Amino acid sequence: MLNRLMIMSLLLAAASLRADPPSDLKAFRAFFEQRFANIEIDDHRDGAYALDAAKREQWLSMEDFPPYEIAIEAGEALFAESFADGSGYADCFENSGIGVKQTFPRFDQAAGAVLTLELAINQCRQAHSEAPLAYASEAMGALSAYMAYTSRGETFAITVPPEGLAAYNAGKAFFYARRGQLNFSCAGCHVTSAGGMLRAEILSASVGHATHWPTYRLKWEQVGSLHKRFAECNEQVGAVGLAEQSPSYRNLEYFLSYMNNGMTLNGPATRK
Amino acid sequence: MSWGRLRQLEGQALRALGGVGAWAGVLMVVGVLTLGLNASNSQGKAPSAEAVLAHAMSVHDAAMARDHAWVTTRRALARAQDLLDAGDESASLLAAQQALQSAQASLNQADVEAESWPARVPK
Repeated sequence: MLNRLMIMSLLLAAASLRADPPSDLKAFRAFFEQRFANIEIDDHRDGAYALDAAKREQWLSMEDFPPYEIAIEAGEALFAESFADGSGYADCFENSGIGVKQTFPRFDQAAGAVLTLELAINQCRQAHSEAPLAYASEAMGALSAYMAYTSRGETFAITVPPEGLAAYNAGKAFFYARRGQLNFSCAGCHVTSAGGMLRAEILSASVGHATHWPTYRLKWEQVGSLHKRFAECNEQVGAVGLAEQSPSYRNLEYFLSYMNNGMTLNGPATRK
Repeated sequence: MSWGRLRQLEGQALRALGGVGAWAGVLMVVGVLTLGLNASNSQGKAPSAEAVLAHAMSVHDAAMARDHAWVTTRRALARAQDLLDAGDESASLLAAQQALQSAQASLNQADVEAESWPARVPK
């Protein structure tokens, strides 16, 4: 019996490791389409507010005067500022940095690692002899909020080249592995239990989790990154949260964003 | 019982259980450690708080390297260090032992999860 279980476990592991990103995406979306048959898959970009009418109404009324607006304006001003050498952020990105968020994160072939938008912003600064910004800083939040805003309405188009497959799989393993003293995985709450309740909160679906960042969270009282949320989630289940832009969180963002391919970007957003 | 023998027994227990009974393994480790430390105490060879703390830190670091460290370990390590700095050896030893147990459990979780996560992927 024990041997059978071990063989089954190994077969499952082999099957999952063999699965390619498009197959993963298809199965992932199908899971949520089946779980939430009455909700359009793209509506999950609004998280728990797609699942509960009363909460959605409260959230929509908040959107009349969205608290992230200040960050967008500050980010636009920062984005337009020139560096000391006369260049600027627009010189570092395709399409002058406007409407590019949907292609991040991407696999950087030269670095052999995942490149997020925040990392690209700092690489741009350093390439022009500017000091990098702290990832949790207001300036980084504002710049990424502005760049996300210019991508509103675009659809996620994350690619995984053969060289990026290891990073994608590492992110996938992180997503499904349980951690912390409470023994929870990202998937435990946001796949298996999506739509259920955790105390007074509705657990949102993972599909749509990457579309709206950075986000103004009321408990943070500022715009923050997806990595900040990863760390917060990890700490909530008793796992030590990782640093923003750590390789593991970049891989996780890579996997999660790929799972959001085809969905409409709607960042920045507001969450409790 | 020497600290080395204790670690040897702990390793044997984990190997005997393999990845099947993860939590049973954790409980056995805790049991072995507790019995071992009691036995060591009775022989007057209790490991020092400093030694247990150093060992707990190394196990915690190993769990950190695998993204599986626990908040409880971090707290217990900080508490043990504070108590040690304050000169309270026995209280520090207790906190260090708690940190070690927590760190071992987190590392065990990393082992178990390295094998079991694929079963949760939607097919």
